[in-house]
Amino acid sequence: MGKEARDILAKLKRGDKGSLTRLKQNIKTNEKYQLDNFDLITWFLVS
Amino acid sequence: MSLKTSLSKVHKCKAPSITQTNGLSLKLSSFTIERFAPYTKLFNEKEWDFETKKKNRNAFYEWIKWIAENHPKVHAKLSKPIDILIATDTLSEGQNLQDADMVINYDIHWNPVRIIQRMGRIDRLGSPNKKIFGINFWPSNNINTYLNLQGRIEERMAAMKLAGAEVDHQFSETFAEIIQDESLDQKMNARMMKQMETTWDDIEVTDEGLGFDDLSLERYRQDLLEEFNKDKNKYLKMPKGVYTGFKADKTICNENGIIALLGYPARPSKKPDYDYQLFDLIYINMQGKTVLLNQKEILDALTVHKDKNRFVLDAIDRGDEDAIKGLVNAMQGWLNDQAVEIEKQSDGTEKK
Repeated sequence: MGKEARDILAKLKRGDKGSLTRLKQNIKTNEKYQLDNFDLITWFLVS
Repeated sequence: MSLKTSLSKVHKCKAPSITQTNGLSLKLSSFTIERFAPYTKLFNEKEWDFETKKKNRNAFYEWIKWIAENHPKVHAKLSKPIDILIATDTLSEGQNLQDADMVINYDIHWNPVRIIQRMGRIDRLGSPNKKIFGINFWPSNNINTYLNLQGRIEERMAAMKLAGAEVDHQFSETFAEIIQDESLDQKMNARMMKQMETTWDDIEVTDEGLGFDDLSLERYRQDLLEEFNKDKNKYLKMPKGVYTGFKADKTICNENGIIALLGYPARPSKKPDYDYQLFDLIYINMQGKTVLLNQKEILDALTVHKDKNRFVLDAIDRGDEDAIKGLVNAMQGWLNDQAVEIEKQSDGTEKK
């Protein structure tokens, strides 16, 4: 189980609305977290 | 149902405060309030040579009959009841008005304590009402956007909750969401832990204290808006993936890595006016592990470094393949972590 799944489970226990919406989307976390699914809008290099 | 069954008589009471010293207005205001709340002001708060085995409301009804026979002047007040009392903020404290079962805030005070106090006039022990109601009139949308009154009160109430005060969780829908928010709980716990270590004064005077600002991102929004307005066109034309870098203050950013703003799901190629469902602001090291979890902490870190000179390794600016690959791997590592956790077993193998 990854971080998002743990996070959603924890929020569901408290009855968080957003996590329920996420659950209803029915998108597996390993399908969601692909490089192509995200836009890198901006980034900073920390040196 | 309240003792006040008919809503026929309305009385305007400009300043019914008990702190008034002017004899005439004090007399007038107490006369008004006794007519408005006879159960509390006359029956309960004054001493009468009257006895009954009945309780609460029934005792009150019996007392009215007794008053009619023994105290005609008091009975005269009872026969001219006031059902709706319209008052300024002066009535928000100091009076017991349990007879009433509804407070309508036709102006919302910026200070949540005042709002709680106003409810407290009727939300008191000894109320004959089974249910009480509170109604708040918020300004219309336009004005509220301008004043952000609701937002400001909710933030202050959230801050009060953090400080341990009793607040009305059902005050408004958005406030209910704020206090259910996970981070607020975490902040409250962290603060309580800290309180155990130090005294209240220590927390208040240090920068680490949790102030009103900490509950909103308003400060960053102002900062960004100011910068944005300086050169709107430049920022509007900025391409996706634009980047910069800085030499970090190690006390704030203790690891090298990337701070990135990600949008999900990726924008389809032919949709210029596309809205992302969610944004993720992340600070990860070169292995893809998160350095700072909280988005506000990341914004804080960026704020500290916002006036620093641009500093990006030459290799990255040149587009050196290895350097870029390192960055992509870091991003990939973070994405993997979100989806599946990999645990290293004692025999060296990995378990997903």
